[in-house]
Amino acid sequence: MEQLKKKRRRNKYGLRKEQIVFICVLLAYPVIHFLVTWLYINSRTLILSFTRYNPNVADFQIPGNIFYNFEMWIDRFLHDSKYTMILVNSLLYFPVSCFITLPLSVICAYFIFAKVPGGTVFRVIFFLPSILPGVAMTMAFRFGFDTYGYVNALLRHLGMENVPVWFGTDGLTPFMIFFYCVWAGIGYNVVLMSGAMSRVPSEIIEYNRLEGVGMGREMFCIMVPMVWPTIVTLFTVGMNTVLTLYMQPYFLMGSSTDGNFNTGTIALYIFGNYSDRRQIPQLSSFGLLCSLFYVPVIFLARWIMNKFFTEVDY
Amino acid sequence: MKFIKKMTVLVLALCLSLSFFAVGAGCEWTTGDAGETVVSGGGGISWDLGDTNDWVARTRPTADDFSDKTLNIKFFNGGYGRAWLDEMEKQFEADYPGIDVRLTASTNSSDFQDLLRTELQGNNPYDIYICHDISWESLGGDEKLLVDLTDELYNAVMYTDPTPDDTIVEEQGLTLDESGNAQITYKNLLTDASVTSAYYRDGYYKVAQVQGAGGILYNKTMFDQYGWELPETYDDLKALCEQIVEDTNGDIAPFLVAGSEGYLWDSLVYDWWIQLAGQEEFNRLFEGNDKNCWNPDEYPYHRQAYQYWYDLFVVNQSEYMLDGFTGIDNVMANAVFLQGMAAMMPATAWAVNELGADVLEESGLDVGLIPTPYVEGAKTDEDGNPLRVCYDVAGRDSIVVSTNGNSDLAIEFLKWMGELDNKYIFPKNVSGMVMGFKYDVDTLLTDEYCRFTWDRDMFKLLGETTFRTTGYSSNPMFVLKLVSAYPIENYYLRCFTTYGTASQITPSSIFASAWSQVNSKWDDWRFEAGLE
Repeated sequence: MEQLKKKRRRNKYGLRKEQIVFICVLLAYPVIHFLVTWLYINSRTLILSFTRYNPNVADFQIPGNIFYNFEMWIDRFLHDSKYTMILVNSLLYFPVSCFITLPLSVICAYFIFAKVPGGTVFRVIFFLPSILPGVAMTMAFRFGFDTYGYVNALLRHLGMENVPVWFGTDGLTPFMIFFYCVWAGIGYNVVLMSGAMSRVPSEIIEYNRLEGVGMGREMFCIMVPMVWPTIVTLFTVGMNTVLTLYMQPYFLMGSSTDGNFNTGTIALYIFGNYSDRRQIPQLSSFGLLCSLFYVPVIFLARWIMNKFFTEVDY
Repeated sequence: MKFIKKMTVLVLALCLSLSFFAVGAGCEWTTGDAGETVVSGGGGISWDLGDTNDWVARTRPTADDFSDKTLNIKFFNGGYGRAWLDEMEKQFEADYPGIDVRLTASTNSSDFQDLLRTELQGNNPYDIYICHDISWESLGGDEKLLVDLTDELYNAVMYTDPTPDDTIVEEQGLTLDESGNAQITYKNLLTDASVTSAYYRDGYYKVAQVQGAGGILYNKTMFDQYGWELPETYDDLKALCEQIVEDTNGDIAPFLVAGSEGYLWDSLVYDWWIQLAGQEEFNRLFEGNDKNCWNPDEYPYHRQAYQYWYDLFVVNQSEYMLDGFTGIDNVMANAVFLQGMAAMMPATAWAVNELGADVLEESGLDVGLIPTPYVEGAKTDEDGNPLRVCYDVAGRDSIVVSTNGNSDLAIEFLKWMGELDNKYIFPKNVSGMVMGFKYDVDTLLTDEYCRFTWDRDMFKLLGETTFRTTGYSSNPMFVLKLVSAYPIENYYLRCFTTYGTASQITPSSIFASAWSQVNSKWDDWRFEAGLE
């Protein structure tokens, strides 16, 4: 009798009822999450991008020309300088994130790893901007460079008569935003890179020292290949900023979504207009169009990056 | 394992198909009635309903008439402050014993814009919302989340006049009851500009919170000190700018505006546009029936006004504008103005409240309002005097009532607010501003309502203006923001920053691009707005 009790029923995959329940419960959250936050939202975005808001029924409907929104955006990109600038400005975040911020982060992380004097202090200094609220950071940065901020006061004190209007000129202001992004973005990367570098076996470092390998060679020929997967990840994340960055220009330009002085980005435009329900089809198609062109570029870049070095397990 | 993979693919495909249906939007385009187009505009705030001494007020309901005795109001705590609403709360509770008014202040305008729809769709706790830039047209006229105030409020009889003046009855379109008493409705108590700015599709969905006028804010203390005279005409204004530069060796800039507040130039440009075009031609553009209104060759008024602005301020920016003004925000601009670094600012009605009335009083600084100077070619009256007109940026501020709130009590509060005495609580607490009602200007010009020269100048201007508009149009093309006075953008800021560069933007290029855009998109926009 006891043997019979112990013999539980199993299905044809050899799973007991309790195991099936366990697996279902385990999978419930990720599956629901996938269905709600990915499948539903993306399906909705896809459909909405082919619709237009009809004020007569206060709802979204498919117009005669289902590609109206896409044609509108292509027309805007080609003929309206405002939208062309949004695209150009957004694309510029790619080199800023991947070819300025990331290399600087690698260098800073290596110096901290190499235990330069004051490395721990520098680590805190680098990371500090990443843990402070973005609003506070942007305010602190903006106040310094305001027309009547301490930077201009210093420049005037040094004898400069025509001090720059850092946040009020078409040419200079976008570079100030880039500068802020580099300054505030290094810390986060440094912490991740430091973590990756600290995993490099000490035997390799010791061997380098014994062989008399210099810091430059050690960094570029040893450390970079060893932490390459982390660099690829950060590079990919950096590429994503083209489509996702909006908070920095938003806060630095006084909570404005107008994109004044060529500071507009794709995400800032969407953020600035999403609350108007009537704009949703246009914004959906805008996001979709940008993703269609840019996501393959990200995949291509990642594929190329992965070709550089063979991943090493250690 | 293969079975599980197949099932997973099948389930995902099913989910995708279901979600396509779930998101809806699959039906074909439906045409409908866009309703009558109403363009905002009307005379000044002056009382035109005759003597009120004999008027008999309606019988107010009591607290027992309302099942819910709590009125919840959420308001934007911005430039006007909250003193006026605090006083109204006390007074209303005193007039309606048993009623409790609860005020919730918010300094986040997103609460009334991005987040309001969600709040109205849910079980929101608020009955009344007061803020600027509420999308009341879509929330009310389209989605019916706001109360249609047409019958319950706008057509409600507030007073009866047992001895009506025939002329007033005819002019104001008052109706007479069986006994021959004239019925004064809530709509009659509001100015025409307020009434017309609250209509969309099939009814009234808001009450215009304030009325104001644009113009030039000036430092009166400074003007008195240097003996500068107020300009009447555009040429006077240019001469004044020259004089300020000369008298102060360039230490004081004639003008200042925050780079982030470029829209304030509308106060001048729109006024010049209306001066040149006249009321009917100005309204013609906002009626949205004729795309040629955007063609500067056929409709030159807007471009001419813009050109006046460009020639005065952009071309002379190195002398007439404060150095680095494009890089400062509104708070900094106000601080700089208070420090006396600039003599004038383009301003709208809330300027003094943003500067800080208390700060002005403590510092002993007096400020005033220069009505927009007349340009050559301004329309004149029968005697040849140029007509005083004004564009009102502040008029977009709204009071709306939620449908799932305590709407009866909310509407009663709005009625009470419009009563002859209660409407004065607002100008008593807010410098130089009035609510959307008609006022007796002589009463407003007393010391009780005037703390600064600005207040007097503003009330005087609002009283004498022959045409005041907020630029609102109920045409769906405007409501949907498919088209506007500036179909691309106003370019005020970019005119300054590109001047003298290879990519210089000029009035000609702005209006040519705008016309090109309107001309090519007009039919699409009409279709999208449901007009075809």
